[in-house]
Amino acid sequence: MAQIEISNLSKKFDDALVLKDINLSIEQGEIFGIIGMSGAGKSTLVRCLNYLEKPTSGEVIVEGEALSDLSEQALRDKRKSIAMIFQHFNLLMQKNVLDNVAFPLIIQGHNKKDARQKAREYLKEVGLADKEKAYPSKLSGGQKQRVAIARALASNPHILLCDEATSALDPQTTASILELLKQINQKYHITIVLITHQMEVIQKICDRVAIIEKGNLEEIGTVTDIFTAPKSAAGRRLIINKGEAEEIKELAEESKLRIVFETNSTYEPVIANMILYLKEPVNILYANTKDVNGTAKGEMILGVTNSQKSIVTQYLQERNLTVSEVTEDVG
Amino acid sequence: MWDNSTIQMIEVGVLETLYMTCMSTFFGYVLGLPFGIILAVTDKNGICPNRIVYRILDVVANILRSIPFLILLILLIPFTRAIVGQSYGSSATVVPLVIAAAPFIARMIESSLKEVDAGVIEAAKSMGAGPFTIITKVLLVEARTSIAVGVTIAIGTILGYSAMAGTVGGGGLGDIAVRYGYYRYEEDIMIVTVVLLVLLVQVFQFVGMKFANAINHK
Repeated sequence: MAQIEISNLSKKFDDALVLKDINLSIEQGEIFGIIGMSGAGKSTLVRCLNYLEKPTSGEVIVEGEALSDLSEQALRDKRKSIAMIFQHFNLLMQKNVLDNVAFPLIIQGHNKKDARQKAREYLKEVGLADKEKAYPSKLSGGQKQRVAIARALASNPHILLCDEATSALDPQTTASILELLKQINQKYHITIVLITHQMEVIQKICDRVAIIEKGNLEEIGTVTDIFTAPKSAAGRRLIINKGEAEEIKELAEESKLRIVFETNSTYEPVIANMILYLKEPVNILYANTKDVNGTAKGEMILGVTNSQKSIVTQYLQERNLTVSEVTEDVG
Repeated sequence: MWDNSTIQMIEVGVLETLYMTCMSTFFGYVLGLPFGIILAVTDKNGICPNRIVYRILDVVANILRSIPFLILLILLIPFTRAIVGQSYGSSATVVPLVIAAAPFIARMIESSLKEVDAGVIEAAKSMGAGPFTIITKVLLVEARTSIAVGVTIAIGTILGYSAMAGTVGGGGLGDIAVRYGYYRYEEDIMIVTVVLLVLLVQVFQFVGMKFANAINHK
């Protein structure tokens, strides 16, 4: 059985159905991403995993225990093994860094001295050993999130929930926090469930990803599969990011084809050869390489005429490239 | 007129005023702090929402706060006599002062606690904290600066009320101001007592705000 099993989960706020019949299982030790636009219901979904929000119907089973069966006290005990970090860090502003990290241990009934001693170890782990006396208001966003991560580790959790943990941070800081999360995942074998609206975050560290839109789970799969060939419209919208989509849309080509390849997959100059073969030019609208979970993936969007479309698709597919048409629902 | 007995009388007045203010503030918080905590946590956005409890306490606080202090002072005479043994003097004044101050203090505590960032409360819940832990280790700690500012305001208000109690033989500087200054037209005594009251409020305000800032790390 998977570590986290979500079955037929729905959530209503008043009359609004924000999550519709979600089924999902998350395995021990993986980094699982949940991506969606704001308002998609992903923050509610992650809060159902520790019952900060109680589902209207359906079950959440964590390590074999259905959360709905637990008493208030048993649920509180269960939460001690499910840590959480937040977009706005949510540190205690009136306690210094060390006491913030020691806080979950104090809640668990450790005495102050032991709690602080353990807290020091975790601060060292996140690279903030020298900041233990500082108050959160004096720290940068990245440092605050590191404190929050140390605090999450202090309770020795099996699962770490990250609710838009990098959304308030700049790109460099985001990268360093993601790196830290990956280290934690590897060192402590903590399962990480990560909520985000940024595809780059998913590409960088997740093993698998679920795409949700308007409360529906649209697609689920490995990050590589979804990046290479998204099956759902929501997936396609997320893969091609907004700014790029706008630029592509403005180019009035008849058809647009998206091809994905591993950058080191072939030494053959495919596009150049294809043009020689066609004896007609095609327009390269967009090209990029992205780091998807450690491997570089090339991505290219070609503008072709309708008469070229099928022959180009066939030519590229014969060379083992993934080709899909970019339709107007992108962006 | 400014003989030793007058000076001594004013000294006693200052001490009585301080005694009434401090005792009333202390007991006001003994009642008002739990009262305010319950208001804050049972509110619909609180950590243990309870409509009925909130409505009852809300109405009680509103009723007590809308009765003018002088009327409360008179209404409470039998109650005061039952507790203190007499209905005049500074100890007797503490009783109505506490009853008047407690709901006011409760409202200030309620608003201080409601200022605490909901995200921090959510974080504590996610760590497995129960309501009692959240109140004692999150709400009261995070709101402490706002609570300290509230104490400063409460002291100033109670000091003002204690002077009002002077009109019905409550003791303290207010009593002196009314008896000598108002009834006997000894304006210099009235001015001295008023100046002393102003000074006391200033000192409490100054010390209170210094303290509140010193404990704030936000």
